[in-house]
Amino acid sequence: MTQWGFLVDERKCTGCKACEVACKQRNKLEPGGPRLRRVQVTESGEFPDTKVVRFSMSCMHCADPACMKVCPANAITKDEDGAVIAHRDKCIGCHYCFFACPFGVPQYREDDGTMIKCDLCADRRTMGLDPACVHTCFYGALKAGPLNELSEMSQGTAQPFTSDTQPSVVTIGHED
Amino acid sequence: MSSSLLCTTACSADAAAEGASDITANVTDAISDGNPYGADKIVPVICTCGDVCGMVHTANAYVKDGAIVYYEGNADGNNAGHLCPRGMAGLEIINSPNRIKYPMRRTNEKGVQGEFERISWDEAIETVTDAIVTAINESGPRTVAFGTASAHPGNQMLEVGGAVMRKLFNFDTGSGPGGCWNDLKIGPVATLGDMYHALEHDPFHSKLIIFWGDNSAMAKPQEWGASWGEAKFEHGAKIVSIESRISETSEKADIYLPVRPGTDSYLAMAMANVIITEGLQDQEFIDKYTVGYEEFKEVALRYTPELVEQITWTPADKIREVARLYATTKPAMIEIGRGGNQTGGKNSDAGWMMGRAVTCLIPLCGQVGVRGSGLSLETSVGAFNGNIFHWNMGKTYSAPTNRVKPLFETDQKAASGVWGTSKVLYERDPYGYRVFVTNGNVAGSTGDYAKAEAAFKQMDLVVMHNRIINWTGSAFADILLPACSWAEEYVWRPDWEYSGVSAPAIDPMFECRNDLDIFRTIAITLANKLNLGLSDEEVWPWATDKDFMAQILCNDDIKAEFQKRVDEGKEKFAPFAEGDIDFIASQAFGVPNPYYAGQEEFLPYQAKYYTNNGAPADDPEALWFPTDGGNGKALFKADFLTTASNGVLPALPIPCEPQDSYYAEGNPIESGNWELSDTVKNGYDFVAVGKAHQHWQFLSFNQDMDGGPGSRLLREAFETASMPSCLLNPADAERLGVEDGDTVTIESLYGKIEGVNVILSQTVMPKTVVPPAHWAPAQTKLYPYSLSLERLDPSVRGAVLPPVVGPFSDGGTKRTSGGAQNCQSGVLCKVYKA
Repeated sequence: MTQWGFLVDERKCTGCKACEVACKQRNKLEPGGPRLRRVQVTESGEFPDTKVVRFSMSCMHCADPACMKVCPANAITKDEDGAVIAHRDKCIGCHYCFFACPFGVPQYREDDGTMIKCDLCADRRTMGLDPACVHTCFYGALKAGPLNELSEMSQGTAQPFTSDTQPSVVTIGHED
Repeated sequence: MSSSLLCTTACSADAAAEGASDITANVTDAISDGNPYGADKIVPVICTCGDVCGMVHTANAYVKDGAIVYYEGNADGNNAGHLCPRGMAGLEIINSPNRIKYPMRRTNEKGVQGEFERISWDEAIETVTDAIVTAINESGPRTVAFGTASAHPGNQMLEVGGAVMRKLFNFDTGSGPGGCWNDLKIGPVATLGDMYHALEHDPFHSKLIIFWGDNSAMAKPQEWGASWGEAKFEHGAKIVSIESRISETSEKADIYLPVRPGTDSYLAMAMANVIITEGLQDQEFIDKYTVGYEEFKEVALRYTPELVEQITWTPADKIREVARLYATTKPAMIEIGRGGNQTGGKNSDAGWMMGRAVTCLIPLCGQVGVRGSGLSLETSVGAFNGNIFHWNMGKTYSAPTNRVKPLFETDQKAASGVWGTSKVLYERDPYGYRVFVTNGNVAGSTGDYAKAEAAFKQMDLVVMHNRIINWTGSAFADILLPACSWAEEYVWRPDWEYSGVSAPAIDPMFECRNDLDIFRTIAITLANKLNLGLSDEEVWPWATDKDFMAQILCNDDIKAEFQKRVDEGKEKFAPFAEGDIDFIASQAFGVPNPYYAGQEEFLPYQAKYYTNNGAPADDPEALWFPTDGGNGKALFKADFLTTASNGVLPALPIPCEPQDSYYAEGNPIESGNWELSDTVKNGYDFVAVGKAHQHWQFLSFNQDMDGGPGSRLLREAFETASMPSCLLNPADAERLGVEDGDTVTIESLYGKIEGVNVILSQTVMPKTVVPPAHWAPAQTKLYPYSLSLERLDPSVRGAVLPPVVGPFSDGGTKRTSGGAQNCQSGVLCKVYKA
């Protein structure tokens, strides 16, 4: 299994949220309900030296996912690309995955009482297509693929996003 | 509408000849029934969706059983598969529960969000045509305004269709204020003779790029991704951003210079001051290629960084840093955007003066003649003096309009120019509009809302044809006509190197009709009611919108033009010379522009392009500025501005205050009076940073009935899209006793916006407020209704700029104009808790 993940280039992101909209659209999610990709925007400093940081995040597809460990219904698995999949048909909506996830990724679906999260566009992957978020980004701020390839693509400038769960995300331009 | 100047080496017509891209191949070779998502077909549709960034992007509509089951960017379009958030919300808009599904009639009073009841198409057409006939018979055909107004239609077929209607029936345009960019060209054309916009690859050669009042990182996602951003990330260009707030582009900049709205010309002269006093100017260049340097220098010497810092709120040391950097880094380019020209007003030249003063820096430092230097002007229409130019709008408009003639005579003269039509709309002088048929959003986008409200309330009938009804339709329409979305009709959208074209992906939804069909029905019904005794075809020669598009893109003239390019060895034009509309409409990359002349090789200010302006024929690459007077020199002193305006406009770039002056007697360096104006002293001490575009809205298309964005996904993604909000600097908020999430009133001399949600942000310059632009009618309540050059005599207003010269000119002698709506930024305000 070659672990897939995302490259998030914070130098390039302008916070346009096309990735959020593309994701909602691909997942046929209604406005107001779960939003599987969210761009977190934070400001620091004072005018005119303000720094704006944007981090587009869906699921970290961790190598050692906390969600999978705690799920009492065995509803979470990793597929052949290492993507962490929450299976709707097995989910009992207990929220344990949300509590365990260091990033607060899984969201509750009111309409059927299950949790939902990014599946790295599983169907698009089988068709050789980029995830909807990556496909739509004008700025080249998002890439998806085998993590080692993403690191190579970034010529070593990408840094892994750190956490005990080993998130499968590398970033460029990220400052802690 | 702005430029999208792509490198032609990436033309997809060539790619199509070689075979589809990898992504396209995968899309059609998938797991279920041959197409992803079980689609029967994948149809490229031109995105005129969301908000028309101005570029031509192609989406893929995956269609199954006549419905769109998936939607995303088309990889073969020049957007290379990407869509911005507005574009990506396209399917949501197409399927929106708020779409106008059938004709409707208003049931409540005007001026508030509309309530409507369903009527039949027959009843709607009866009502509309009866009102038009009455207006024609009682008051003359000019009292009917027919066509787009203010908001761009996206699908340019509408504009041409409107032009045909107006020719047939002698209607007015009702176009109102005119393009927000149109006076941006006055300065550059005066100084340099043209308004060049960089080609995609030009910035790759720049060592330094200054974005002045230009937020391309947000407003031009494609240009940023493929051009400016690539220059920064891949080619090492240093970026400077000069802005009245920290915009998305400012965040990408190496150096950010804050500037009080409307004071860009002061800042430019301060930079000139530094360059001249430190001997950094390119004196050899100046001596050889410019006019009026001594007079310019005399002015510049008055604008020391220390004095200007007090005026523009830009730190003096930063002014020095950027001035030195610009003078000593070659090649360096300046991209001027629409941030500054909107601060001019009835009595202020601050708007157009920005471009005038800034462009003087270019010849001052000899930043001309090599790729990566010079000017890039953010504007919508090209071809001022033979530079990179847009699809030839004149020729393509004339293809359908030449096929019809007026169906009856009238003595009534049309309102002329942007000033004329505005006078008719707002002053009802010399006549007022009785019937107004539009898909635009005049009341949601012009200043002086009270005036717009009064104007629309006075009309007999207001008709809105659109897919989602914007504020103008909501507050003032009597009749709503349901229009097709871009996925349900033929779309033609011209740009620079190509026109985007697409065929419908699905049938019209609900009872929608495409706008051309709507126009056709109205035209034929009118002709019958006016007893003109004509057959349907004699009134409107095109049975369908497809026929109309074929008239534009498959007529003999354009086929000959395509063929000429083929004869020159440009094979990619060959398939288009056949005139097959089905082939043309299927090309995701669009139709290549046959009127351009090797854009990828173009470098401005070369003599070979201006032999009809006096440039020497024997030295084709000599430097030549196609300025007024035909001496080939850049004009620090442009005497023609004064003579053409009968003495009103200055020949030199003398900075001036915006419409609401901060100082008692205008420019304090010139007047000597540094006392603050009464307006400021009376508590209007915030400056509004108007027209600040957002990722979720530029031009108020797909604006919903409450004045906010039609897309609920965008409302969810952005706090400023969820309700009318302003941005305030936290220090100012503390001073006002206001917190994040409070409600405030923003009040100017011209009106006020109440109920504004407060968002605190350190991207806001202290003593400024970013009002809720793009929430109608909020923004329009703060600003006056104002057009540039109104101080000029009507007889000269439209003829300030020199005639167009260069290889694509027709050699005419007609002077032109650059006036348009201004004063949408820079007014002085009070901000207080509700």
